[in-house]
Amino acid sequence: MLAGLTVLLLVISAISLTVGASGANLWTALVQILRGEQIGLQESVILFDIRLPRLVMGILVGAALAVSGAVMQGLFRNPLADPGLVGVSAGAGLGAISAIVLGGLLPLTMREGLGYYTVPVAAFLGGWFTTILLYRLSTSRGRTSVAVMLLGGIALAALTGALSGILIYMADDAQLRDLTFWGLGSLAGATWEKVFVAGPLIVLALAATPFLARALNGLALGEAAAAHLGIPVQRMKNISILTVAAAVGAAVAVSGGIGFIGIVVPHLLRLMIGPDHRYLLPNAALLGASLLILADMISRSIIAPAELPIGIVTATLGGPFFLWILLRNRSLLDL
Amino acid sequence: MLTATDIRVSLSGTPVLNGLDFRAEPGQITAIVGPNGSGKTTLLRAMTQELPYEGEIRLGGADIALIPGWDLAARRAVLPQASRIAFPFTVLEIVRFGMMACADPPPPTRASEALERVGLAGFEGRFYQELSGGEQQRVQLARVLTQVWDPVGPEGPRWLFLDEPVSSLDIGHQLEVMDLMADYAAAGGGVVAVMHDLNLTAMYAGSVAMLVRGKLEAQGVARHVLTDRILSAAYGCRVQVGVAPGGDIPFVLPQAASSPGG
Repeated sequence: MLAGLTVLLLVISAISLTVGASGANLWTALVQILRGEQIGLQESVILFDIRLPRLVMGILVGAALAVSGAVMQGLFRNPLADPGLVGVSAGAGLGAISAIVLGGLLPLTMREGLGYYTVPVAAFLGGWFTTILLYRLSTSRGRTSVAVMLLGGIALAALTGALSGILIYMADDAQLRDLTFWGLGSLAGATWEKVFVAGPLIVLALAATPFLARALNGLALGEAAAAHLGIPVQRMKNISILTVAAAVGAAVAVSGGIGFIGIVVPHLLRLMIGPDHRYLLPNAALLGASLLILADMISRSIIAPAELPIGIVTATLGGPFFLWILLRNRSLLDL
Repeated sequence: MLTATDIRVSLSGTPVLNGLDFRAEPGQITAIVGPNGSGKTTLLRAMTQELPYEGEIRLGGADIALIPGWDLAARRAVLPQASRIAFPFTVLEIVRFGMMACADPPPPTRASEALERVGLAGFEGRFYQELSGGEQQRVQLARVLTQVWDPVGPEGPRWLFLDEPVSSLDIGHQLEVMDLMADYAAAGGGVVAVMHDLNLTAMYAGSVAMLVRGKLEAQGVARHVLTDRILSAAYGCRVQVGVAPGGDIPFVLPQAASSPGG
């Protein structure tokens, strides 16, 4: 499975590099590169300065969203937990917007120290805070209430949305321009700079997941049962929340809110390979990356040369899918 | 040896256990019985650290609050009352989770062996969520067994803490599970079980602890604890206690308040 998904990711990546509005024959260029031949300047610029950062960012963001969805579902012991649905992305968004609008209020040394990382770090903090709040709200005595999680998530998303609105209202013209570019909810603004800004946080989060897999498996039995198996439950929950916040924060900071990857990918994989997190998490990273690149390809070719925001593509595919999961799991929900 | 001394537990401000003492020894089944709401499950959950408690609980001489989690996991396993599982795991996957706590990797056939012992041979590939309540209970028991497979480990006797292990089973499987527990104890392990069925308790338990309103009313061998007087007072109903033919095992027959025969 892992090998199959790796091949899928490679194939989709190669197609994604060559498909687009430029009109240049990039397949030929790609083949030339593989043969070690020189390619033209135009092709080189399109490939290496436009398409490749976009591809790498798509891979990072797709993997981050899918894995954070899977970790969150394991943590909340519920297949409907998704960072986009329960307010974590909105919280990360609030963090990012705060950094853009209020960043000037930070002490100069801090601003200089964080540099380009100000927005993703703020998004990470926003996502972290929201996840902790949501977990506290919906879990008491080791039991997570699905109803409270979903409804609490709606409330948190609304609240953070309102706060974001206030901040946008306060923003000056230059900040508004930054916000517009940030809030497109797409990979369109991908640059190497953004890749290097979001990459480390996402890679760090992905690197933590192999250590979480066993604990998330144990948690599926319930918190008490996990503790009886010798799992340090509280520490693992804290690391899970940090992982989700880092992955979502970084993804939101560079691509705005892209929904449904976090719920569609883990669910598909559970149907195919079962729910064991040791296999679910690495496969989710690969499939999430593949799906997001595919969605990105659709978003930039369907009305080419214009681009459809990728959020619209993922929502069109993911919305019905989510409803389907909802109906299938109706008995589990107790709503 | 497991000892609980002066245990106090309050749930949402209401005292449930009021200074309770309890002890269990390896080599026999210790049953915790008592009416609904008497604190049986609360006691078990305190002894397995699922609930905060006041007092002292010692396992093999050491205060359990001071034993690290991984060490405890190698020495005792806990069967919860009912378990719903979040994702569609197979029976085999669930049972294998029990082995997470094992220091040395057990043989790969261990999970199937455990399933066979609880009467679920061939259930490996089934989905846990699709099983009946009684079957789920036995899958959990198989998982718990794989966690502390050998009744005596290098560090001493191992323990099974079971909350109503036979409550949702039919009579045949009840006996099968009780036999399994008895075998575990006979091999030197400790078994502490919350029980509802007084007759099964009388048949299998070497020590019976009767809880009433958060206090230990009596603890000892079945024929000293399961008496007309103690049972009538504890449960607030009329019971008749007899002796099973050919032994000294008591049996408990409830008496209807107004029986048709008069």
